[in-house]
Amino acid sequence: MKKMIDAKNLVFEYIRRDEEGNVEGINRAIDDVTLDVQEGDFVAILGHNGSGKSTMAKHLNAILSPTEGTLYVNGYNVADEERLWDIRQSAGMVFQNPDNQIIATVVEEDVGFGPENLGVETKEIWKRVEESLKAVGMYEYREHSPNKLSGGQKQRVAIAGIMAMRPKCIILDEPTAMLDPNGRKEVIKTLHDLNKHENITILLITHYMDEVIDADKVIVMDAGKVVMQGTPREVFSRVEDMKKYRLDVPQVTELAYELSQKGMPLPAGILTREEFVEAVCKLKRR
Amino acid sequence: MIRDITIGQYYPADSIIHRLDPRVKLIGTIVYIVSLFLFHSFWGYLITGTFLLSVILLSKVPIKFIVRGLKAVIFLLLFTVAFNLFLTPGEEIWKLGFLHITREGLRTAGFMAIRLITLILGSSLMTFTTTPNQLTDGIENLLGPLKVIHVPVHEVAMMMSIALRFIPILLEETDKIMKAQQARGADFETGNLIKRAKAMVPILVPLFISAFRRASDLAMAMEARCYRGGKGRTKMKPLRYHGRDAVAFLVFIAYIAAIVIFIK
Amino acid sequence: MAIILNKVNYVYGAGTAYEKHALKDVELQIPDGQFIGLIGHTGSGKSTLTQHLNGLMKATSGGVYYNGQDIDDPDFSKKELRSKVGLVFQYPEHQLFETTVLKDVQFGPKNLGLEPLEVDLRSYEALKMVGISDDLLDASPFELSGGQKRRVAIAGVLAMKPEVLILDEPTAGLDPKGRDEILDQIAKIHKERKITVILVSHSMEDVAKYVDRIIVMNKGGVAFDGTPKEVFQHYTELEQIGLAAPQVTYVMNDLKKAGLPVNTDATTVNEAVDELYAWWKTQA
Repeated sequence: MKKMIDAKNLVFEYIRRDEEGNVEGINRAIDDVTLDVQEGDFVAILGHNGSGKSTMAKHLNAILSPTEGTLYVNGYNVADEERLWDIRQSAGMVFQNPDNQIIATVVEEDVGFGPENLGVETKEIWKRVEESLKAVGMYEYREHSPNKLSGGQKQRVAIAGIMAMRPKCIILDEPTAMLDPNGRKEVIKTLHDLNKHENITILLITHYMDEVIDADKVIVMDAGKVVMQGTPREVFSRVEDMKKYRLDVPQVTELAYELSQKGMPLPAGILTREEFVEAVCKLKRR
Repeated sequence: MIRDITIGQYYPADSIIHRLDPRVKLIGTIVYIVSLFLFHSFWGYLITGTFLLSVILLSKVPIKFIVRGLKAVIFLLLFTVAFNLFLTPGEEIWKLGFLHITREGLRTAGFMAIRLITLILGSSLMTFTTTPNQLTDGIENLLGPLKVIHVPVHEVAMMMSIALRFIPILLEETDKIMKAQQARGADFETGNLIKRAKAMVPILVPLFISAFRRASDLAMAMEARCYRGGKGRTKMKPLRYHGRDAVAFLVFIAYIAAIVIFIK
Repeated sequence: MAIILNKVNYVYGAGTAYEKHALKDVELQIPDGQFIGLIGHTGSGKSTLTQHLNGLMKATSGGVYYNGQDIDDPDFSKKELRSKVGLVFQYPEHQLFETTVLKDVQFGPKNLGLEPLEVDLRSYEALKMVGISDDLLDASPFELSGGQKRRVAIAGVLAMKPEVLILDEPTAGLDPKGRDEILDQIAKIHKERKITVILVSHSMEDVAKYVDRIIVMNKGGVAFDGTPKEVFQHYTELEQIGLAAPQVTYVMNDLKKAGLPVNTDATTVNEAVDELYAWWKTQA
């Protein structure tokens, strides 16, 4: 399978200056990161605030360029400036604040913004806008003002705006951080739908553990490094490590972990209610 | 209070006026505004008034909604009326101290009020029936010839449309920040002018910071969506004149003709 | 004493197309010293309710009484009320404006017209309470990390020494550890200062862990009001209004349905651990 994202020994440094402009020090926001994401995968990146995950996302969209190392997105080298627009078209980006990424005052016009920039023909823009809005379930709101939508709906419009550029991959930088639980569910469900039905590679950056359970792969970052990677089950079975990195595990996972610490023979890495109930019922005396 | 401002808002409805080409509406509004200042007769205002009323009815925008827009400029209106009422020289009909009202003053004030009201209603009707994007498209298109002399027409139009999108958001934010500072005991209502001006600092600083943060976020989001200026950009809704626009132009010619006849 | 709400109604934009009945006949008693969780989905009226408690919004009908006094009485000082009922808005760091952390925290007590010495005393104390170390007092609030900014903003309200502290989603946007730290600190303040705390939250897990009473808002009215155990037993009704119980409550109910003789009223991980461990002991 094709690699959608391929990073080798990626380093990003920025120089901190004091008020007079003298160099105070050099910060390493990304420290020797090597990772790859296969086409069609749903990958989640976890990490506390300041762990470097947002800086990583900005590299994937060629907003920042690496100090050292190489990064290929959809086969394009991000250091190749001539490929800048190809990279942004194939790896779209959704940001945290739903208000600050909607440009137009009507939903459909906002979705059309990307294709307009790409120079797509008018008729084709309309087709793409319709398809994208339908894919995120916002077609009936096409003539609404974004100001009247809920947070979850706004984020879905933002996702449709990316979809209309026909990307292969969508990177989402904490898209649910400002939403309520229902808005979060809407957005996560939309992402899984796009992943399954449109074969869009999803890279979801978040710090809500329950959004990660159904991902194909979880990457944990801390201090600019990738410190854990694996399936959700592998990552969440290391409860102590997760807490060390200022993260958490789903409540059932923690419950199972606490009980097994007390001696109950429960398997590690339980992720759902169903798994937990099944495991506990096996302990029943016959 | 802030929520009362309806000028500049778009009112979604499906009407012939909404469907007109924004260029027609822009030119029409300018013609209309100019026409308001051409004459001083009752019959003239009857024509401009009737014309406006029929356009409002055609637009399907509720009259209540349009009139609410006047609230925001009520002071300007009262001030102008009072100014004309008391300061026009002529035949005196009422006097109290240094205040005196003249027949001419009454007449000018009345006309001024009608003129201002129709002007505000007329121009807000344009924004009610035209999405900000269409409006900026129209302006961009009409000013297009200026590109030859290197006027950044596209950039200005883009700035305008973004400003229109963020005005309601920033108004809401101002409201929120005011409340947050009031919860910390800030007082915006009492004290002299200097004290009140000082009291604005805790609102303005957070507001500016937020506006800059939004601007930088937005710039990044636009770049991420491959925005690179007006070059090579296509339009989702390109402006194209239709039959109805031709009809609208004819209506305007008839309107101008009617006015020209009345001025004579 | 307490805050009492008597048949409070609030209508937005009366007589316009946007008219909305945001609060409907809300009757509540909030006695001193409680730790209350206020939950409800977006638009349920929680924010409107909190703004009525400190007089930022005025009820369309009905009355709000603070220690027996009608807060809309013209003789009752709104400023004093706002110092007694401290309200920390969502993303409070967006209200910071001063050049240093200390000055920003002093803004509230200064507005109350206190002596400079008292202002300083309260500001230092408030910053200490939220865990901001002394070396940050002269830093610009805009240089701090997101979590630190939020603490400074909370200190800005604490420095007014409120008797009731309302926090609107104080953990929004923070990472898991950051959320726990802020909530632990709030719980500590509640305990040490013996003040009433009202926590507006979307996280049922957090609410269950900290509060002793939950008020559920729905469509402008109070849908449930009771201890976490009482309220979360209504998880099916909560789901119908777009909410849920903590995951462990569901787990205990699932287990009971599967035939385990367990109590289903656990709302926190610790309670569930105790209950299940006790059960397992009987199986061994």
